[in-house]
Amino acid sequence: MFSLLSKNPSDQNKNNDHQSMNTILTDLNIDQILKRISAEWDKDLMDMYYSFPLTREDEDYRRDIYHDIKMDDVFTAFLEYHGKIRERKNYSGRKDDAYELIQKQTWYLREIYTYVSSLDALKEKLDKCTISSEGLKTFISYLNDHLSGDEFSSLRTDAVSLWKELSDFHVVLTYEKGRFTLTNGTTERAYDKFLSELFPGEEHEMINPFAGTEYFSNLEEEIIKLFQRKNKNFFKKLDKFCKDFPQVSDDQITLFEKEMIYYLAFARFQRSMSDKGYEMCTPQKSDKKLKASGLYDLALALTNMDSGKETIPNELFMDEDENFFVLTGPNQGGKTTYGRSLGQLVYFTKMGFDVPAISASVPYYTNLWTHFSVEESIESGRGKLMDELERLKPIMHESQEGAFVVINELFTTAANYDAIEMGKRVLKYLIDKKCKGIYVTHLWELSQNSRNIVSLRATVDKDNIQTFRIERSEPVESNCINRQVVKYGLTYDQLKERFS
Amino acid sequence: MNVNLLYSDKEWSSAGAYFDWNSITKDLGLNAIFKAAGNDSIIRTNKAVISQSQDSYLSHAVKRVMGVPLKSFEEIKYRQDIVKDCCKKQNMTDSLYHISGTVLDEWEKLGRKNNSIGEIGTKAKLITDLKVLKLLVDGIIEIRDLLADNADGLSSEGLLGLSSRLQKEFDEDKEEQLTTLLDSISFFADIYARNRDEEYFNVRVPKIRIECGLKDGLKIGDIRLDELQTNVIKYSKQYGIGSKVKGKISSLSPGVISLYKDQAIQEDAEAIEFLVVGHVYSYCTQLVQELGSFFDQFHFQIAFYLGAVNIRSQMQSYRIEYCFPDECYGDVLEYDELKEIILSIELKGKTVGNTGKLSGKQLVVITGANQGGKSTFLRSLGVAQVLMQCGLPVPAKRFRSSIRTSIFTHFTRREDSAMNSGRLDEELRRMDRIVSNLGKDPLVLLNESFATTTEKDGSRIAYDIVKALKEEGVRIYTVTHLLSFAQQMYEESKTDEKVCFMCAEHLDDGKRTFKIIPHEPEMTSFGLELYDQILGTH
Repeated sequence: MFSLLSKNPSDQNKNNDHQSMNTILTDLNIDQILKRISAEWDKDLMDMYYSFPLTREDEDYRRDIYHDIKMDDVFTAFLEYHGKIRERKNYSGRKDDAYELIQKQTWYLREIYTYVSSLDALKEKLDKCTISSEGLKTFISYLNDHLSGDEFSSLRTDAVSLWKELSDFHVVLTYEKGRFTLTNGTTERAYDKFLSELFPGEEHEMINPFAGTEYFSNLEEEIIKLFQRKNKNFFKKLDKFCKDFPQVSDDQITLFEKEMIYYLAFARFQRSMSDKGYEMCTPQKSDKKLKASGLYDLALALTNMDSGKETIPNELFMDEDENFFVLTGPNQGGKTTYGRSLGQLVYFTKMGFDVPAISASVPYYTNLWTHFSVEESIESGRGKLMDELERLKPIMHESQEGAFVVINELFTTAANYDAIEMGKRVLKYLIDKKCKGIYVTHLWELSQNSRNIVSLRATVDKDNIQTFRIERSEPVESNCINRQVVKYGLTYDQLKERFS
Repeated sequence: MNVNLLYSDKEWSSAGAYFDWNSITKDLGLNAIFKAAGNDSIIRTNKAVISQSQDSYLSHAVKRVMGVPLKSFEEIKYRQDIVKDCCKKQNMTDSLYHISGTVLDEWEKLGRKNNSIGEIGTKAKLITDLKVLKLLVDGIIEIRDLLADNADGLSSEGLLGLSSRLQKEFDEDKEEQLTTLLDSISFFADIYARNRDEEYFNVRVPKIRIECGLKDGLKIGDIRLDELQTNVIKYSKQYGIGSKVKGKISSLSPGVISLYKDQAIQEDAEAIEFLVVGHVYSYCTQLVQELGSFFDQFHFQIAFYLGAVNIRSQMQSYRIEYCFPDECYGDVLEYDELKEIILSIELKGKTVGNTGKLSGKQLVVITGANQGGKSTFLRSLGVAQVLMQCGLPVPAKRFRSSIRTSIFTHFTRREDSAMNSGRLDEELRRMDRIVSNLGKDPLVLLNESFATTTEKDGSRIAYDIVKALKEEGVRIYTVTHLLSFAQQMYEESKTDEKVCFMCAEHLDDGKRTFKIIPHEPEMTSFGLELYDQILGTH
């Protein structure tokens, strides 16, 4: 058995801690993004997004597969195949719901026919695609072997011929003077033609009065009785088919069908974002430097998109001897958003996906951690500080060397001197552990005193209006913004300016 | 299918409306015109008015249409021609309005609001849908025929175009096919007026032939309709409905499925009837939608013209001279015996007309005696402009003006004139809104603006604003009591060709003529004079 998620699938069982992953994704608003991505897809998709690949190789393995799958031709082939999986599941369900044996058998025939033809179609399409990832190459070679095997071949032959015979059956039902009569064959479809002629361009299918239940209505039962009497031979063959192939499932293909969605869902999401003008890019591998251009908060983009607002992108550069950003600046200036966008960059890179930026290079990080202060805590200062420290404990203990850490406003309730001191200690600890990351804070003092620490500021324009741009800047004591409100702007000079 | 009576190339929409139509309506007093439009007392027989009633829909239509200025003389001409046709054929206009009105009313009664088109609902809804279909088809044919019957006397591109489009879209073939369709489903819904036959009960029964596949779980699927018709069976009243039973006996033979075998099969048959008719109707939803929006548009558009006919009748009955303004080029404003229609209607025509020429004038400052006709004059210019720009006749012997689609009014309303800062604040806010939304080639009418503060302050504010606006190329006609402002402007622009100062004329003996003539601003607004007149000199 091979997996599309890991080169060594046996290791994958040692999963990450779902609870802490939950906190991380919530802090970074990635949960909102994932909700959007996984809407309309199967339920187990979410689980796959809630654990990181275990090794560096697995991250690359996934990135290579994603690179293949997002290509137009591969994407379309997989998306179509996924549609067929759904169709099949639907038929299978209707088979289970059906009441009469001959009904079950015809549904089963349809399910198998769909399975056979969709796999054939997938193979045919993939043969025309250029595949470079190891994972997909393995899958395609398995698929080729499987489809050309004897068992699959005879299944295919029987299913196709029976299905064709069944699809070709037509009966004519005449209803007049209180009775129905039945004949085999077709009609001119004259009234439908009259309608299409009278209403050019309109094509409607009649709503089926008998759909909606798997049971036969009394009328249908009578019709089928007459029909069966006329077509005995077909029903004999169908019965034999069902006995010859009592079940068709292949574990490897089942696993593929499940894991394929991991990539397909993200690829479709990326396309829909691209349609709305939000591009993503494949992060380049990098040894030490962390870089991104046009980086944005994807969750914010989703919200803004709905309300028609603009999302301001930012630049990112962290040199190899730099460990931590300390980000200060005015309130509502885009600080937390910037922190989140960094976290998202690392998350999507680790998962093997493209990232919300124009270009990016991201080194390997062993893990991703976050610590966000809980907003609007009704607890007293001491209680909240306790709570924060409690939540910090696992990060300080478990975070392995080389993890990426996003911290947002620690110790806001502590006394200033204490908060600075504690903040410095946290930073020192993480830097000693060779962690990288960003610390969003109102304590400008934290950005001093260390070579490894880079001071960033959320900037304002000349009128003290937030620009939501983040830049490297010497730390400054925060100043309060006073926005002047000019009432109606109707003096001569103001008017001249308004018109210019 | 488009109605295209308001524009040659599109249906009505409120896009491109004046920025603040409500203020314009209020400031220019246009409600009197809307009321005249709704005064449904046309002289239907060219004789006396039989009854007078007020149709608020006509007022509504005129108000909405007038709020969106036409953008070229071509568009204006298109409407003027239709107005002329409608005035000539008042009976036709009236009938068109009442046909569409009746269709929409009947539809309303059938529950238009609660029934969305295109949804397959209950049997009752489908029956209603079919009745609506019949109603709309009959209505459109009635309009088609009425227009065709009157085509001889029509000359407007709009009405003739509509008539020929209707004849093309609903030609006799189509009419016949639609009749066949309605006929074939008539077993389902009672769409025909009942024929009271003396000796027979008429029962409508269907014949349906369908083709179907059986692949999905052997369920009936992929249904196609081959034959559908309604047969009328007459049962003799003498033997009563009981004679239907005969049919049951004959159907109990092998190889066929009888409806009377059990209740469930009868229900299946009913379901087939319902869905077959629903299927046929599904083809018609587009038509119903189209005809629905046609009637909505048509009723609205023809209401505008019937309103126009009524306005014209009103002008005629008060002997107010009117004209349909001609095309003109460049920066033109010429008026001959221009009257203010609202006052004219109020005073039943006994008003003074103004004659003059303001072509090329960008700033017109009107000062002078109280109660001298200044505001009336300003309004008459605004009203004439608005009337012209919606294709209606203008109350003047002759009127020529460039098109100005961006009109703003800033009037100090009588009730506002108490001097307090809240009022000034409100005035400034309105002015700020105007400045922010000027658009292309704007015309701003100021009437006693900034009179809510002291003369000195008001003058300062007005001077700043008018000067800045003027430099920006904004056209401003202002009536003002702010004499410092008027004087300062006069000193600065005495020689400016583009500026004109006007006054309410008063004769040497002090008598007012209510005419507005070019004149330099005076230092007094004759308030003292009025004071003296009323209170006497001490």
